[in-house]
Amino acid sequence: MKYKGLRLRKWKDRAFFVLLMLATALALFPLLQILVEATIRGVPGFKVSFFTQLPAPVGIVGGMGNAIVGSLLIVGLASAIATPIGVCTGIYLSEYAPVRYARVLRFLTDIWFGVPTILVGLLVYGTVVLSMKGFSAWAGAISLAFIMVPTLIRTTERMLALIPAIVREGALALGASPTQTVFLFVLPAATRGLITGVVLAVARALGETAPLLFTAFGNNFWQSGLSSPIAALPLQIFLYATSPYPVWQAQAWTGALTLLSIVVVLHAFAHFLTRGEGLS
Amino acid sequence: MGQSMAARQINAFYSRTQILHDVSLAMNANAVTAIIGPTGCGKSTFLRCLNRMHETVAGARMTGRVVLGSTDLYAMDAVEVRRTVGMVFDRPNPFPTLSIFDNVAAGLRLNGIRQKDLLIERVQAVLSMTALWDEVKDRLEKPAIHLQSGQQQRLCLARALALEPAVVLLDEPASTLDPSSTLQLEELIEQLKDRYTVVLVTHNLQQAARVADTTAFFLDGHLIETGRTIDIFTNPSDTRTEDYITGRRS
Repeated sequence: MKYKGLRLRKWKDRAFFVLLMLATALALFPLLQILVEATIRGVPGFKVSFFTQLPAPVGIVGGMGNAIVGSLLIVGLASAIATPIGVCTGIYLSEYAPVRYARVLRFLTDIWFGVPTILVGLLVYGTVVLSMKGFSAWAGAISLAFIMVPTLIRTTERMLALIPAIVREGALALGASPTQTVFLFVLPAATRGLITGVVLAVARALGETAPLLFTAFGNNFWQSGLSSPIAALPLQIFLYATSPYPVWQAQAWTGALTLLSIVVVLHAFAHFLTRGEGLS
Repeated sequence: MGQSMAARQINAFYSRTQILHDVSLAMNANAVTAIIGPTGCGKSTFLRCLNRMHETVAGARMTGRVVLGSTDLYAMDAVEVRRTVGMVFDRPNPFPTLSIFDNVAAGLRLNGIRQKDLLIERVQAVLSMTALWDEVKDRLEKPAIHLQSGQQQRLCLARALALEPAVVLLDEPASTLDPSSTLQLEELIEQLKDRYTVVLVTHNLQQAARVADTTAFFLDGHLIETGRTIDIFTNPSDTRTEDYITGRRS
């Protein structure tokens, strides 16, 4: 009697396992396809000229040099703006905020995180672009910073939450002030996690296109300053991929592969930093 | 030298829940006072009131006074109190990023001691006192988290002792240790009372019987009975104490 239905149970177990495997395969398939497709189509265009030349009219060999530099510049600027704000807010949220404030702040951060990026672009257009009377690297960087901040707040808070409470208690019990506890004992223990958070935010910002459309705008030439329109890799890919010219479409694939490679490298770096810590 | 400590009419709360009810207890200088009682009786909370760690938890508050010698600890700066009243926790908590040496020196550095030779001297002294020196002297620069848990706990004790506190609070210090590490720690506690006033929270009755001069029994946030350890264990005056130490359910 004890084993009644055992075969059915085993069968159900196996069926469920297969179902989960299928779902996982279904989830991974598109990713694999993107990687394969981008590699196959992008690799032929991987030439030195692609990285050094400006975009050129159809018929002349061009590249995305300015877009790559532009992307690095905007994202670098955005990180410089967003990192201190995001990390400090995350520290406040995790270590200082009273429970009730923290709850509100966390909720607001979640909303912020969920704001459609096109709206971020519009907001920056309405404020920065209009008041500066033109598209600019600054406007692009500010909209990317706006997107990075909530990511940074969340990861910073999460990384700090992983530091056991007994580390804080140990420091307090030795007569460390609350601020000494945070800055001398908690933050050093979380350094790698915090860097990971920044790297992941950078990776996210690199691929953003929508907020750049009417802020950075794009530019076919080398950058002359931060107050003029600037090229960015995702913008250039968008432009070329939607063009009717096969040469441009091929370049869009190479651009996509470049972007993808940078993002993969950044993620690998983040993974390497937090290996064995179960952080990412 | 240790100084005697007295808690007077301590009431402690977490949010609206009252954990301790009007607890007054004298803890003699250069003696070990053990606090025993079932889980949730408030013994750890009481200990945390003694070095003002209780108030670091959000929503926690307390009333009453704690006096060390003739000083009211609740009239002092909380940070200052914790430099005078050291604490070891129920789980070893060495600072994960610091080396063995830096863990022990952490408290000294927080107090502004920077001279290398002075730091080395003090670190060696407390590591010897906790029977760790011979075990770790060749790897002081290695991360402390690579030590065994018994060694980690003795390191945490050394870290607390480095500040030369008057009182050492031990919150179930052996609860995660194996029997031989526990024994070693108990021997250390015996020696500690030469220099310090020791308050030991433990759920291990044999441990209290072995090392404590005075034992206090807590139940449901009340101090039921306190007295010489031998009296508490052989001739308790309250039936609730007797029920607890004989393992009977009340």
